[in-house]
Amino acid sequence: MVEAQEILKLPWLNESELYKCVHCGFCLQACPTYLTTGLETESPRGRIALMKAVNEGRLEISDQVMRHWDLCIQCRACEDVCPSGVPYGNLIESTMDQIRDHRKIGFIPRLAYEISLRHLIPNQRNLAIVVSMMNLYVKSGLQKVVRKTKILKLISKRFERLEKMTPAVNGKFFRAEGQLYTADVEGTETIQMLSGCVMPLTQGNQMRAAVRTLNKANKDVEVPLNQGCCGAINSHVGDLGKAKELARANIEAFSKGSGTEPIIVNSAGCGARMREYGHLLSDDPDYASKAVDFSKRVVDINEYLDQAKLQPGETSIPKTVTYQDSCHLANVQKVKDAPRNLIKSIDGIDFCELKGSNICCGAGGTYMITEPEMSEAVLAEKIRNLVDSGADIIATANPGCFMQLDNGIKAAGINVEVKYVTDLLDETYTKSK
Amino acid sequence: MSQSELLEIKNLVPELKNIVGSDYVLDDKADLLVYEYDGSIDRGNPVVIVLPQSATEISSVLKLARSHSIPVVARGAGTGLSGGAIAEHGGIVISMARMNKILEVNADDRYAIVEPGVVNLDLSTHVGPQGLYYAPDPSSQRACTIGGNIAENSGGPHCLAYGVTTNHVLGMEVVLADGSVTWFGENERDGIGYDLRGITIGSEGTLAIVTKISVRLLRSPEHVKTMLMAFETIEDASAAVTGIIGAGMVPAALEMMDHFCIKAAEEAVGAGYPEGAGAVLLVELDGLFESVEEESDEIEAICREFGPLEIRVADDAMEREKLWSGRKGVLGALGRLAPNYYLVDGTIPRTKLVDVLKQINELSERSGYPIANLLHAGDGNLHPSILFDERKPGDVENILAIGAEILRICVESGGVLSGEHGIGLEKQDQMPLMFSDEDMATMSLLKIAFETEDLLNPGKVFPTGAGCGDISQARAIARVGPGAYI
Amino acid sequence: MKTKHIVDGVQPSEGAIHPKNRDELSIALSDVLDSDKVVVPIGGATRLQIGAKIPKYDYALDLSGMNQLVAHNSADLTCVAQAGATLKSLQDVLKEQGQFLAIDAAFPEQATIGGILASNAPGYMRWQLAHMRDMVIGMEVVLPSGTITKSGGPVVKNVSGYDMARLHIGGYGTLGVISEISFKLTPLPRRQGTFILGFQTENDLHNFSEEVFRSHVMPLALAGINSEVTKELNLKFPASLYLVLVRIGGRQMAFLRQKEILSQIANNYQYAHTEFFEEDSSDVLWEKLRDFRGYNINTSILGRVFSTPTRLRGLLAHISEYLQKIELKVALSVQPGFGTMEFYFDGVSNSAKVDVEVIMSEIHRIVLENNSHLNYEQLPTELKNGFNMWGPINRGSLDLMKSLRRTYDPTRKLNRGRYITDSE
Repeated sequence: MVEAQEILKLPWLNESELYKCVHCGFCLQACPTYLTTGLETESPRGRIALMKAVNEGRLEISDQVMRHWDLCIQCRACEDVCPSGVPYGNLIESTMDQIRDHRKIGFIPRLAYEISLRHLIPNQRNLAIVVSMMNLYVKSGLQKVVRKTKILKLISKRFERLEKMTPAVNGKFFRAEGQLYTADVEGTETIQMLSGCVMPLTQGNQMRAAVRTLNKANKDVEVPLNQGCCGAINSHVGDLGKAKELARANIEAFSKGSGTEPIIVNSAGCGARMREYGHLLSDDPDYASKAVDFSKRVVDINEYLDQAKLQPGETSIPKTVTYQDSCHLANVQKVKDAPRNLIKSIDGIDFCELKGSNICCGAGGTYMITEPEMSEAVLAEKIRNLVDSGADIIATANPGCFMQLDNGIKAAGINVEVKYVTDLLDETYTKSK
Repeated sequence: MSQSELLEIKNLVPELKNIVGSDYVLDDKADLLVYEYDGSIDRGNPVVIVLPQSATEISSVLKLARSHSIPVVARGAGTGLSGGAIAEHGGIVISMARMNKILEVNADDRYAIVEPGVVNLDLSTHVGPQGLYYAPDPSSQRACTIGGNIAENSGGPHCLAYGVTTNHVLGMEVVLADGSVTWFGENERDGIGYDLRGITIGSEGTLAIVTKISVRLLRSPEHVKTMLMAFETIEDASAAVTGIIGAGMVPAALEMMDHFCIKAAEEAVGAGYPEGAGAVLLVELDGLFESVEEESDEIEAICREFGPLEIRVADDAMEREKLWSGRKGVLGALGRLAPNYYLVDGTIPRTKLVDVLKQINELSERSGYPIANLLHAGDGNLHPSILFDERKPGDVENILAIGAEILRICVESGGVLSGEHGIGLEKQDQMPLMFSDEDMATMSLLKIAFETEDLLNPGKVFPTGAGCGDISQARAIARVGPGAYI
Repeated sequence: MKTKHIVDGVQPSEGAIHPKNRDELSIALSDVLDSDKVVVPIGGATRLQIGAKIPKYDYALDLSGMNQLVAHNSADLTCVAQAGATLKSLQDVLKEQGQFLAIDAAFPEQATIGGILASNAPGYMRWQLAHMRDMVIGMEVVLPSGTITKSGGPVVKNVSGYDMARLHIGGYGTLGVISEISFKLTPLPRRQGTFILGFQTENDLHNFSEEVFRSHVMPLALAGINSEVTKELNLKFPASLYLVLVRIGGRQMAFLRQKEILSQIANNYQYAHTEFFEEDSSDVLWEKLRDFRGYNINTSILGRVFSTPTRLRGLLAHISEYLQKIELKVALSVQPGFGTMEFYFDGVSNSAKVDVEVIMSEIHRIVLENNSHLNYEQLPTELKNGFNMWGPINRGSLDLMKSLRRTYDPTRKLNRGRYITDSE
């Protein structure tokens, strides 16, 4: 039995958010980790119960307790089904932030964390060098940091997973240099585009395909200079300080034009983070209102193209295509129909709904590296459903999902391609071979 | 539960691990903490959680528990609202989370055999492509399990026309308190002997643990139509309900919301209800195309007699979803008005709606606690929701007292204590409102016929301090006759 | 002494008691203090022949005096009636308000609702393929000790306490005597009629029925009868091996549409004969079928089979084959959607080449082989000796049933020796 005075209380920022949960259990069937384990501790309701118990001084923040929070992929599907409107994303984010100091982290992992998540990913130039070199030592440091319990036992597994997850560099880097891509006909509107951190380096071709598609919708696309990582990964692992720093930098970078251009994001996770800058910076007197204005400008590329009533090109794609909801698009940005509408608008495509398409694939940003067992277990069910669907192509809207699905498909040895919705659209404008 | 009892159970952990596998026995403090609750406001303290995968494993767990006189509580998804899955007397919680397979679907005989942990909606989704569905649809159907539905004899909005869980279960495999495994009924719709199936359904896990269930499947309707009607007053809406039923129509669903719910839903989801609406009716008809059309015309005509502010009709899935959005968003919307709400469940004869709602409103005014009324009007099932703040001293006690008062009003109007949530811990002390000592003793004889040790979900259904604890008293009812119990 | 109270040829040694209300019923039961005495509750005495041969019988507890409709709340679609009310008296009142109780049973002029429920009487009304127990929402029961007890009530949705009424439906009055029942009611269809088809093969019968249940027709009743039943009912149809009767109902357009769907389905078959009976003539047809309970009551054998639609196929084929082989005339009626079958033959003067005991066992064997259950509801008293009329039931269930019997009626005051629980 733990003595009451030994129990550390977490000072919750917003206690009333925590107590909105009436433990009705509606979230269980939306939660990928509950579906995989069947354990209440790995459910949103269970994680909130643990937060409440800690808040009430009934439970100490032990390694086991933190483990249950760590295992949350933060897909936020629970928010979408919650009848009481519990802001789970805020709760888990602030929990992760507050327990960071409770973690017993050694000097080396902490240094590695400092390097990777605070300096590397946020800095395009450094990251570009690293990606080019594929420096595994540095990457393994990243793993060490974010997940530290049973580290020796797990390290080989994570190492293996990380290596698998290492994306093949795809085409030239896509650099944010303030360039403007103009539409063939005179553009009706200029939009600003987020290039982000990892994606422009590893998926340059996909970035360019997105730009071309926006041009086809008669939009001029500007990629502002000095923009960077959105901060999603930092908030995910509980470093809200760094996330705020990155948010402020992006707000500045995107305010150089008229300050009203739509900010188009082709990575669902980044879009979700940026749509919530308002909340993130709500206690920053200099940025609070700027952040709210900024968030209002952020639009996911699929939603934007669907609303713009994009006409796909004439090239037919005679394939069966399914769609995996990117959690942060469906659950946070509430965009579910737009990507499906776009896919269905393409000539020749036979669209089929994926069973459990609204359940996370287990990617979760760095989660797929830090929690390989759970991530793979969640992915396994996804791949089973994918096989059952009979699809030739699975489309998605987020780089994490892209890499995770691609990895699962390769491991299963099945003949399915992963593509962004914008890749498919882009193909319709090229002459068929 | 005393320290020594606690220790005794802890000592059984290795044996339990032998039975279900070491990964499926939980006794870490954090693990136990999240099995304290279900969807109700009660709590209990289990000592160990097991997650078995078969009737054989459950049988072994029960035999072990019995040999040490340890209480056992079965748990589905923990969405129940009356405390059915709470380990009131501590002991072992058996989670059905791993017993979640659909074992057989027989489309020709229109039944399916499922494990208790199968989620209600998953079954309908699974058999949907064959043009079939499972009718009982509790509001929690996305999360609740069929095993839990059996324990509580769950209903749902569409039970008006199609009946509750007991009307859709053909048979089930159970494990009895002594660990023996048997079937009550099978896949036939009729049979001989006492209806053991029927008495086990709704027994809140106190008679047996269900391990396989054979359920009836219905053919999906050809046509579905939803109508939304807004009225100025609750009296008009209630009169319309009486008119519809009286005209010989039993819609698939017939739901009502009062002005409070309308306002909340409007603010939360922008359901687009007309201004000044005091009550909204949602009517859903399904079945043969012609039958739906004929009845909806007639319903519209009946409702026109009571001066509706608006009538909206939808027959495609998206439009129907829009009409339902307000109704489905109400509970969440109430969460915006107050930190907590206490959802009361009682049933009255449909004709008493106006009178009972008036009494509930008066109660709300007297007590100062807002009460929003959401009801399955078609079958007289009320869900008054009392808004409160659990952190405010005295609030919990007060709203529980108001809830009890509402139930008293229901029973006095010829109604009952629970329409679909069950008695559990929540209403056990209100049982005497509805039942005489003889009635309750007769019920406890049923429990005694199943097991005398009172180890399966003890402390539920019967009033605290009474119940089947005193076997000799209950037995007197069978031997001696009237008056013997008192 | 009334012939009405004769059970297996035995008169009650102490005579009959006629309670007029629950209190008199309670006193009647609590007054029987001698643990040796046996009481038999009797309603309309239409199904007294059911059960093992009665070893001893002292009091006839005749409930036909408790025959009041206590309440009919038509706007609520519910009613409450005393157990001794006849089904007909109840339906007559309900009909005036355009409602009915979706339960039917043979001889409704005599059969009481208490007796129908206690003996789980078969019927053809199967809207939504529901069982009669689905119509019961509350029940008052007097225990063998005389204790008056109730559960449920006149509301259609109720989960307050154990669902005690279930114990007594099909309980043959062995746990208590039903004194009052609350029912949920059904609106009478505005129009109704019966579609009849004559088939030459069992397969057609099953296939047709299966198609009907796959379609959007909602039959009020669907039965298949063989030519022996047709003959006994004096129905003037050209000889077909089987007749299928589908009863449909609803408002005008829904009624016509269902009729049309049935005709379309029928067109896929080589039927020998077809007919459509509407309203009164349809009623009369079903009344005749309902009241056909076999041949001479003293010599008739009546078997009830509980199965599923698909198992019924093999079952019917095998039984027909066997009956042909032994040249026994049997009247057969099946409800393919509900999965039940009833058969009747004369246990004394029949033309079969085999002993009646052998026939009974052989049919039982076929039923078991097809994973179904058989209950011999009616046997000539002399055939009852030592014969298990109830058929086998799984050990676990039987043990529990016996435990219930011991708990509620420790001296076996009610119906001693007749029910499945009292078998060795």
